[in-house]
Amino acid sequence: MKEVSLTIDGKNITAAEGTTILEAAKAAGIDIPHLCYDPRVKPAGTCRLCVVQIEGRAGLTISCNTTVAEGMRVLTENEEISAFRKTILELILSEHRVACTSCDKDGACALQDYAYRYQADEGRFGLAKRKPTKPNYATNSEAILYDPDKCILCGLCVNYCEEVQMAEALTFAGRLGQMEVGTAFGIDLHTSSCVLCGGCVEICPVGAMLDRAAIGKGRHKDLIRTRTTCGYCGVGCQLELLTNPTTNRIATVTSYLGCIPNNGNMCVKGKFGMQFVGSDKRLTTPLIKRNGKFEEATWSEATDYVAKKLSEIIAEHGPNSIAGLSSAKCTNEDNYVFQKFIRAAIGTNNVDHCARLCHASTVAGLARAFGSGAMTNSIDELTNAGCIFVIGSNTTEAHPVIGLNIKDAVVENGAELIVADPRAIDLVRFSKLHMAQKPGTDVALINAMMNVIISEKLLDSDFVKERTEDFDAMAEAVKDFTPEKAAEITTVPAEKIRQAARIYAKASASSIVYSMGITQHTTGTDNVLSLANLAMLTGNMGKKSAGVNPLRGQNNVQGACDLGALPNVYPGYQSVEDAEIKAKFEGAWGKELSPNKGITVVEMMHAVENDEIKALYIMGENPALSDPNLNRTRKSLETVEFLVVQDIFLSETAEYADVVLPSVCFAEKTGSFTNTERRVQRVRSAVAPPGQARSDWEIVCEVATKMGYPMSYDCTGKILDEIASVTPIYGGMSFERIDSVGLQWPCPDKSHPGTKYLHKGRFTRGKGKFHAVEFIPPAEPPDKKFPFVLSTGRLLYQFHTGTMTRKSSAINQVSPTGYVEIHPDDAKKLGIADGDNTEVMTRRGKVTTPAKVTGNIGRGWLFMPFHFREGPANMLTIDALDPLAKIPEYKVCAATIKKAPATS
Amino acid sequence: MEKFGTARYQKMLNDIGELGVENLFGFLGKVQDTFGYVPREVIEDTARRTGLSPSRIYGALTSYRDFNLKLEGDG
Amino acid sequence: MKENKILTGRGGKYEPLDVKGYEADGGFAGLKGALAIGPESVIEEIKRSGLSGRGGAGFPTGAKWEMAAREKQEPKYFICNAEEGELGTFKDKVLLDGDPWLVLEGILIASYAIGAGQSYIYINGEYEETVKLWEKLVVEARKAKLPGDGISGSKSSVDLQVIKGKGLYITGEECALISSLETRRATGQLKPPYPTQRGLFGRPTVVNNVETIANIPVILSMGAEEYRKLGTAKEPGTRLFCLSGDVKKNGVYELETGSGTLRELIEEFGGGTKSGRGVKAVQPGGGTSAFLSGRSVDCKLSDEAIRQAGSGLGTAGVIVYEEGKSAVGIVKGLLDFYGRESCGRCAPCRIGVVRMKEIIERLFHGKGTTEDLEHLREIGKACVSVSTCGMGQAFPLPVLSALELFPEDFEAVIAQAPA
Ligand SMILES: Cc1cc2nc3c(=O)[nH]c(=O)nc-3n(C[C@H](O)[C@H](O)[C@H](O)COP(=O)(O)O)c2cc1C
Ligand code: SF4
Ligand code: SF4
Ligand code: SF4
Ligand code: SF4
Ligand code: FES
Repeated sequence: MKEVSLTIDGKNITAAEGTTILEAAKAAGIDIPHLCYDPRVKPAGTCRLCVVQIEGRAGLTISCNTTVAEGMRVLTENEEISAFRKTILELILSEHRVACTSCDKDGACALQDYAYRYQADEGRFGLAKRKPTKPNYATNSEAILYDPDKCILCGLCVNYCEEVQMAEALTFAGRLGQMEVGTAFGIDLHTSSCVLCGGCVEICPVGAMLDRAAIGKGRHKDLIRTRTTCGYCGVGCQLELLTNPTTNRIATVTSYLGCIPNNGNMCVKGKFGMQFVGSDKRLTTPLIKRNGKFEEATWSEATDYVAKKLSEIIAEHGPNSIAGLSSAKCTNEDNYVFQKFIRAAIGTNNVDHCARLCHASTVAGLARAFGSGAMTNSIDELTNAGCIFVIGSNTTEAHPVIGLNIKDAVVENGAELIVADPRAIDLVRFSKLHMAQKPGTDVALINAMMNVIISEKLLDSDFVKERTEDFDAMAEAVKDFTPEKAAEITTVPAEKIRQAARIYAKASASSIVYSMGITQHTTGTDNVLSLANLAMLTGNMGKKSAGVNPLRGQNNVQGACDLGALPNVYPGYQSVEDAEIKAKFEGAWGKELSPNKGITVVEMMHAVENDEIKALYIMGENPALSDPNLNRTRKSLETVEFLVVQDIFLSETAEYADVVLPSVCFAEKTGSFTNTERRVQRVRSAVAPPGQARSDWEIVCEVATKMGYPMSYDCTGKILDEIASVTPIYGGMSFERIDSVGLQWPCPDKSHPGTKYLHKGRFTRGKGKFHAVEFIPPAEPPDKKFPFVLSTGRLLYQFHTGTMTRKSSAINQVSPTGYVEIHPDDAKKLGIADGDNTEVMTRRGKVTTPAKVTGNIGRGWLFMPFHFREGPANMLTIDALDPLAKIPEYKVCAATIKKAPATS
Repeated sequence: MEKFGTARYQKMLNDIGELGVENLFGFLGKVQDTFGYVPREVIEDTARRTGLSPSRIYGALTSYRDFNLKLEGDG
Repeated sequence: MKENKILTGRGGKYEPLDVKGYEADGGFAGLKGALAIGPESVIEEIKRSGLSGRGGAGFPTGAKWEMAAREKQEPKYFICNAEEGELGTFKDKVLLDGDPWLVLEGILIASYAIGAGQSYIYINGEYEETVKLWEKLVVEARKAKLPGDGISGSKSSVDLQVIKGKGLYITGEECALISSLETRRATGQLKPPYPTQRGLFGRPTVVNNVETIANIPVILSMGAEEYRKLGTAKEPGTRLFCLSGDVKKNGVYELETGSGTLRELIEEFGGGTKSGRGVKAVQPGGGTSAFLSGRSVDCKLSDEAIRQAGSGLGTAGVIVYEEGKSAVGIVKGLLDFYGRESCGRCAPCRIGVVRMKEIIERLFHGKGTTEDLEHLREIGKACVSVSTCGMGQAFPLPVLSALELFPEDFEAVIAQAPA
């Protein structure tokens, strides 16, 4: 980009062409007053405060909508301009009911700041009259309050909703005098197209929009801001928790402009989902079950008991009779310590975590094709992709902030979006092409796309020749896989498959984005390998904005995998079966380690049935709701001889425990999370833990020590240092280095800048490897008795098993309970109306839940979110596993549905 | 002024041919002139047909003196 | 002083829907000429003619067309602005009703020259009969065989939507007009981008006033050179002067620029003031133009001369106020109108216009203070200096000029105010 030189207030400045004067000034430390500017939206130009004088131009010019030019001379302040600013502020104040005395925004209000700066008098043009109170669109919202008396009509909220979130819930309504922010027809916010991202509240320069739950919980000037990483999903948004030091409670959550990866944006969970932290349901003391009832215990009692029981079981049945579930919710440090505990203190590789249930096939598949299993690119690179191919990812719901990048890429930069999803997900609105493939037929679809690419010579032969191997085997496998053949299997018209192949192959840089729709199948690894094939075939690897990008679900699922909470690898994906590596860890940990890989999540539950597993140590996971085929899982939890659960709530799983250990949540922790783009980011504690709750790593260290394997660290920073010393991809990590914007692995040493995108010039495994992938249908096809295909998945508003999200009043208002989606035609045939209670049945169980009749889903197909304990979808799912990755097929099983008998 | 009816509305739709953003404003003007207001279902229907959001159309119409969103005399 | 009716001459000579009648009276000569020389030469010709916009801002028409024509984006749009909402302005209606085919011919030429597909004419909603006439006219035009039919591949070259305005003064402002056609709130917009770059639906768009457009066929049929001989060198052609206010006879008069003085216009065409008293003040360019005092009405009828006198020719809506009237009352009348017309988009105009209206009302009712006069000046100047569009930039001009020219009127009402 070209640089231009100009002077602002006599200061010589250079700025990139296209920068506005306001931005250039800001970068140079000159703050031009503004009430309606935000870099994320197009200039609103409504406040007119930012006027400046440009030499040679008559009159004044607004600086937020004027770009810099070579040789320009700008004056941002003189007597005339200051006077105008004061007048404008006084005009605004004449319509703004100044109530700083009771306003939450006090201390973070731009109007207040500028009024002070220019000594504007709020009553000079008459004091604002209170408007007659009447209900507005947010009156009944649990999330947001809108106060028209304080609204300065700057338009930022409306523009944000339209341009950034693209929810188009908000609009200005009414004419002069009656003008207000509102929704279509003034309907309640929670019934509008609002997705509760909170962006409108965040962007409001004054206190006209507020987080309703925060009102009265502390004025901004009294709150302490702690920057940390969101504890919900794998995007890893940087948040600021605003805590009230007198109550030790989080009052509200904000973010800040310019932060990576979210640039101040958030989703409903980050913004409105933090009430769980201060919930009175939190565990505050250790519990030991005696005679079937939990009794409070001291820490030393509890850890003594756990250490003693585990030692006894090892003595009697050997270390392999114990298994541990680590947690994608916990920090890198917690995970490292936990797997070290299982491996070194217990002496087994039986450690796994819920990544098994979401992305095990990613880890397995991408490792085979490329040598490492993570997003190849960075989130911000999506913005400049020529084509984005989203398959099996409902991005705007499961990874909302990445959804913003994709929408922005399409709307602002003209990226071509292809969506392959059986449901008409929200992204379809923005797509060039939507392929609604039959669930479980992804391999057929992708093979056919490759068939087209090869037969139409759209492949990147140079890349294939130089960078890959085994092309011929793959080519052979797709040779007969014509779009016509795939059309029969997938129900996607052949012409659409051709078009998709052409768009994908021809774009400057094509990025594949996928998630659980790809991975949660018995053919999950195959699906991932197919996508890897597709990317390599077209040379869309090892460069900016082009690659294969699995979006990881939980906040630290990437980190938990990276740090070896997996039965086959030590931290950094180093094989436990490699003698040399084993020796290295034995040296580091001072203990002989098991040479055999351990067992996986679902296998652990099955092994309990066979009496092979006697004790389970579960840290921060909830298999009693998240695992497939719940009846079977719950039975295992009930029958296992000894169950330790470490959690922040008495979860469904904890109910089965012999010992429950209260741990702290992300807002009370220090450490690091690794987000889906491999960025290791800081977690900082904002509030003190409830009661006696302690950090997960501390608890684990104490148990290990009591078992005769001393573990202790001064602080989490020291744990990360140890991680760096044994984990090459984390070799350069330290708290110091990740402090401001994190660091993306691989980062082998202290001087390495981190890696934005993988496989540049060389794949991790050397050459990229093609795999011939045959199409295999799902394990349980529908039949006469179970004629529907049932799929499960996530909702925007909820997270995992709902233990955290369902404590939020704002979230409960919009997402009170589970449901089953069914096509109107099917519903009609079965006499089911929208909202009717239904019974959904599979070979494994039965669940009663209300019906949501919607055309977004295909005929013959049912969809259920899995977050709700009162309608637990996983009672129904099948525990058939992918043979390689051992991931269960959550996305396809055979089911039937009927109207539930009326209950009194 | 006529009473709003779906049949009449359908006919207006047919008369205009294809409804898109390019002729939406004129069309809504005709709806206003024919029925004395623009019913909510018309906004929702035209939003669907043009791909614009209901909030956008609603917000727009409320800025004009000569558009009514309710029948005169109705609340 | 004599009218020269190059635009209004044909008024009423044919039945409005009778295309044959129009043709028989020399109609379509301009369009035929245009088709013969091609779009670029048309634009050249318009540039040479020195034609500038008649909608108030006076922007050179040829240059505007050229900017849009040069843009690569397709499609392009042409909009004929017939909102005519400015106070004291009613000239466009004369053309729309009296010689609609002339305006249509102008629209066709403009669309052809800039390469527009679809075009629009946005007519003031109060002109109900005019709207009906134009709807029929478009039907007629599609049926008729017009020069140019078939050249764009379609059967008719007339792809014109007639839009009835919805009662807002601001929709006359070109960006608000464009927003309106996009089914957005009718509000002014930031520039850049300019409509010629990114206008309607983000495409290059030209907006022209009706009178401007009526000049186009005339220029093309008489030739730019001939046209330039009319009026002053800087502002060639005629203007349709709308005379209203305290004159005996209201009306629209087509005069070459510079062909007489304001006083002559008032006396010869308006028959002098209603009461026969002297002229106290004149707004020469519509309701948002600054006042000229009765002493300044000897200036020539050109924008240049009127500017020198302290105002501008604007829409050429000449509003006359006779002696004996108080400036406070006059200004109150104006703000009663403009005070309801801000689009509400930008803070100074939205709030300023209401505050100024309140102050004037206070003064009018004898409850004002000297401080109020200060506030009027302060708010007015701020609006003029920092507002987004012509509305906020212009509505305070009459108030500010009244304070300057007739301070005694304001002091008089303050003197009455109880201490
Ligand atoms: C508040 C306001 C109202 C306006 N109203 C009209 C109008 O009614 N008709 C018109 O032709 N131009 C009006 N204009 C001027 C237009 O913005 C625009 O300059 C004009 O239509 C361009 O055409 P022209 O170049 O042919 O004059 C208005 C401008 C402002 C600021
Ligand atoms: S919004 Fe700002 S100025 Fe208004 S009352 Fe609140 S703190 Fe004070
Ligand atoms: S919360 Fe987000 S989606 Fe909802 S109205 Fe505000 S900006 Fe729009
Ligand atoms: S609510 Fe806030 S952001 Fe929205 S228009 Fe009002 S002041 Fe601006
Ligand atoms: S100056 Fe007035 S009319 Fe123009 S955009 Fe601003 S508020 Fe609207
Ligand atoms: S910041 Fe530029 S007008 Fe408000």
